[in-house]
Amino acid sequence: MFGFILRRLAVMIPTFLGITLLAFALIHMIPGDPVLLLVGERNLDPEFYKTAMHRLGLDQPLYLQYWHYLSGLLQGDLGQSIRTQEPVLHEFFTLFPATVELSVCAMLFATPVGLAAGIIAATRRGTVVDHGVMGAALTGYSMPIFWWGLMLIMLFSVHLGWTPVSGRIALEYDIPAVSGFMLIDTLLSGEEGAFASALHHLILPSIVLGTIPMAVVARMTRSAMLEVLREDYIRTARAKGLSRLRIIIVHALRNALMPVVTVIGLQVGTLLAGAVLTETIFSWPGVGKWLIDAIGQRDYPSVQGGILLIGTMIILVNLLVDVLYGVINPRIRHAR
Amino acid sequence: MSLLEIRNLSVEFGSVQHPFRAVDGLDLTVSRGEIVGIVGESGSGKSVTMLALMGLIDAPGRVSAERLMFDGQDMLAMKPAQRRAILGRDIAMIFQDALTSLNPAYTVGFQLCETLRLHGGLSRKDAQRRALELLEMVEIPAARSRLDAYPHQLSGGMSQRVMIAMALACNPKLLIADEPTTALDVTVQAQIMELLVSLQQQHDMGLILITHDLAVVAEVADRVAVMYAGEVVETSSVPAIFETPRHPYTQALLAAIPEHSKGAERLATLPGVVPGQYDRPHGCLLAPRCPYAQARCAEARPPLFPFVDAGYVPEANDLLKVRCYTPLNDSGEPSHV
Repeated sequence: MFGFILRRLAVMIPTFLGITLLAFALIHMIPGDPVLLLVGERNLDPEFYKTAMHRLGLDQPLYLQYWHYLSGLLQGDLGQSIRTQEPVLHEFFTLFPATVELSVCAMLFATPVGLAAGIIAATRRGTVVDHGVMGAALTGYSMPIFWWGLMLIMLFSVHLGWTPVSGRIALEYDIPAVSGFMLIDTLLSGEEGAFASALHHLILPSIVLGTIPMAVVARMTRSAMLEVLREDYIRTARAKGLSRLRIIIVHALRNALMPVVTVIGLQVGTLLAGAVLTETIFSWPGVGKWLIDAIGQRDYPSVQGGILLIGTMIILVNLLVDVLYGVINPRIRHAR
Repeated sequence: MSLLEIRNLSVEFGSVQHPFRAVDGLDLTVSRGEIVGIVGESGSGKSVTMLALMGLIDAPGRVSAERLMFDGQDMLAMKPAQRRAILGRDIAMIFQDALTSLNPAYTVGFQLCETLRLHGGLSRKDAQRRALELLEMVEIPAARSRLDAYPHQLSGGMSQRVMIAMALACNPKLLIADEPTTALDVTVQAQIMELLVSLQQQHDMGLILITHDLAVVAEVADRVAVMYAGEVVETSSVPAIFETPRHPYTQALLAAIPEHSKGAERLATLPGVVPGQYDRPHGCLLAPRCPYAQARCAEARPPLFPFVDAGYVPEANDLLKVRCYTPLNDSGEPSHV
């Protein structure tokens, strides 16, 4: 198992290289540059422009810029944000907990609901319930996140007033950032009502971000369950006189989980991409919103660093999923 | 009193307008300590009958019966939960492919203890101990270490032994073995059969042995029911059916045994195939293939006639039933030609 993880980590190196190259190339392909966007074209002093570009190293040929970027990376230096002069790594990890908190809550919503929906659809195959659940899942999967988010805000925040429109916590609370996770920090602060407020702010963004993963999990669970329920060992379990619930949860679900865990792992990519939109809609101060702003400002180091770090997260999660296979499936565990 | 009594059991699949009868009007009785063989070719309804008895036929399959008595209890009147309480405890079943019949995600010990704890109400510790006893009973070497083994670590014969241990966990009164040795190689087949029969005798169980291996039936069964296209065509006691088959299908089945055609270039066969969903004859199901068929065979389906023969003692007569207008006589000729 240890060797397996090492091998997987080694394979990551070329992937990293690819990510840096892609991120670098893409952001430099967008017209405009950071100085132009900071100062504005109208009153631009050509002399100032030249020195500023030189100071940022942007007057060098692209391959040299890339080379400098790479050599910085090897020393653990992701560069400084052009906007704030802060190290990119520091900025990213200040904001990252907010994104993780949102993503985790989205998955905490999506996984159980998706699993339950898939199981119910599979056990009532071909009925109205099955078609209803799967229709809803397909709708959820096809829903543009930004539109879905706005609709939910309109209904629940504006018309019904049940949930806050944006932000992580009500303005009256001033919570010192300890872990960066609002739910934890509010508990640590001991301020009354702060935790509830943070939770309250999480509900709508979590649902919006969790909708697509939920739909994917539901569809995958259904098809995996249908396959497993046809297996001989399910017949054995029934012949033992086990209850229907026990057969489904203990005997079928465990075997159906493999492909479901795979898609949950794959959803992490979708999730972070979705987080960019969701955070923007809900003014959620996470890396998604930060990345969008950085692209708008052509903040090259922030964009490159942000993409690289998010890419790393996705790779690591997929590695974790592979390791989890072994836990779920004894056949794989022993094969290694 | 018989342990199991099935009367007029039918299983239908497909739509209500165009049903396909996989089992048609089946009667069967099994007594305690008796081994009843059910033989027939693939698709003749052997397995479906047993699944119907266990209540394991899912919609859109439909099961109907006139009478379904097990151990003095009317299974037709039972609620699903009451029926489940009997399954695995009083009626147990083992299947053809033991390797795929064990859940790959759980250890042998877990799957054994599950039955014990469900039906026996045993504590975790007692169940573990009993599971070990069971594995030793089915003669699994190094039984203790096998408790923690996963199914994929077992051989085919070993998994069938585990299945048997699981089936016998609660000392069932009736064991249904659905082709228990078909998936195993020949040397292991004999061992498993031997084990099954010795356990059957020890526990005085009723054993229904579904098979298409006539040699196995000849060796171990007390009685046999021959099925063709969803119907029982002949029931008889065991040496008798091999000496004097009364139904033309049974006769043809026996003639197809390789040992009976020594020296011949080809095995004896019956022309044609088993009728499917759309070409079921109106009359006797075998009529299109039967060498002795007459006009009336195609007109109406014969019922299962008790076969009365001077050579049989009266008590044994109710054992022998034949679904044929002209059952074969002792010399293998149709009786009323």
